[in-house]
Amino acid sequence: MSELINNREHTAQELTERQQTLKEIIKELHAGKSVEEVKARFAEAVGGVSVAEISAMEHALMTEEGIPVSEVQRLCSVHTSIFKGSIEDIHRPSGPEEQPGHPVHTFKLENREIERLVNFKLSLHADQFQKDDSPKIIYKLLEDLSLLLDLDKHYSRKENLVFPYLERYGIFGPTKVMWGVDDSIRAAIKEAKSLLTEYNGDREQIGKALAHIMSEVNEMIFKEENILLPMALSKLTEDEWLKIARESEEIGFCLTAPEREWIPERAEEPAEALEQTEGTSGTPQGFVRFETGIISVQQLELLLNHLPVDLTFIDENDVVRYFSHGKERIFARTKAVIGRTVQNCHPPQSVHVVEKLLEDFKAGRKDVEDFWIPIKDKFVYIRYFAIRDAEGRYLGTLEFTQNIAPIRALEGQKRILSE
Amino acid sequence: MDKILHWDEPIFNLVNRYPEVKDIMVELGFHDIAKPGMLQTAGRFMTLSKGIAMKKVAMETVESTFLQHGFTIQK
Repeated sequence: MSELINNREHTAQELTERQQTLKEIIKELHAGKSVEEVKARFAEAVGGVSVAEISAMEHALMTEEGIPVSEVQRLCSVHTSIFKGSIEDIHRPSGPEEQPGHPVHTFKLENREIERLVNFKLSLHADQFQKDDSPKIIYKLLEDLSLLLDLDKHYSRKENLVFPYLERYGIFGPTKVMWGVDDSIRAAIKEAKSLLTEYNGDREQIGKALAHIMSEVNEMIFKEENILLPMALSKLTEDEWLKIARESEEIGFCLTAPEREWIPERAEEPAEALEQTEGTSGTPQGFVRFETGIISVQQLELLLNHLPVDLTFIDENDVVRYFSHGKERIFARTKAVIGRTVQNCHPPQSVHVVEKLLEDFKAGRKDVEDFWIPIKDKFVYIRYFAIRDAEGRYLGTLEFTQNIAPIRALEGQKRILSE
Repeated sequence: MDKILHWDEPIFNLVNRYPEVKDIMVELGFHDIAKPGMLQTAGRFMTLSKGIAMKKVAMETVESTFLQHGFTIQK
């Protein structure tokens, strides 16, 4: 429901009104009024004012009003003398994104760690390597790169938690482009690792690969902090950030972790209240009558979560409708994916595979498709089933993912109970 | 009359004022700007000064390229 009540427009309007007043006051100053004369009006018209607002306003003065830059700069000292008191006096908590636990705060915290790793350790070892390509240095580089691969979690949170909300506000292009770059960075790190593991004496090749990683990672940090995060902050509501913060744990953090859970200043409402309105906690009461039995909704949910497989269901319009939530999911899923089309939940590189598969299912050319991938100690068997009704109409697709390593390892027989 | 651009103005505004800015930016190596949806979203947060910091293009290169197209960049 809260999405229907658009608070954002309201505050945006308030903001421009305030900026208008601020602008008028500055113009009065410009026309020769004294600081004392305008101070009272300022205090009355404007409660708290942020530095960002002042700079936005100064900018507007330059571009819209045509006041030359030098004039605005001359006025700067006057602004500060008026604004200084009020910015500091008025009780105004630092922006929520400055508070530990806020997703933006966490992203930036991780970026500082990534910078330290890349610009200090990795860059130092890369320099050493150019002088001395001994196994010792190679080992250090491998260690750095393995640590750096942890940024997969940082990128995954961005892609699976932040992007869905941006898409909800109609922002598609940049998210797709950024996802593509994330993937190429992941690939570059893995590539550099394998080059080092099978080192063939080509120092230059490795130097180039490392330099590429360093510049791409730094560029990504810049893009996140100067474009993506400010854009997300301007679009997403506090409730949405809260949801992102809560679901972050599921994917994990990169090289560091938020020091505490973020509780927004206004949030007196207990966590349960929020979740209940969302309909996520507290499985609804009631029973489901199937052809072959009746079970309660609670039993059904528990049953699905106890299956030793991960289930994800998308409907006939490719929208993710449900996923099971067992103890050890193989591929992280967060509640944010529910309601998203499946095309927006896959990296751009693999989207065409998904689309081809769904096309075949819809056209009735296939009913099943299987994949199997070794991932570390797991052997992941991923099966897709077209779901059809009795008439054969396509109603959606079930993704069925299972770690079959323990099953493949079975041999002989076992006929007695375990101790 | 000189066409004036500001270092810290969003690219979105600049292109709205002077559509040719987009092509000049691409020429300078800012390829992302040509991708669909970029200008309307990221372009509202991206400025020339951020762009040169990110792409490590020299400020002089940007200035002289724009100058060739009849633009002056103001700080």
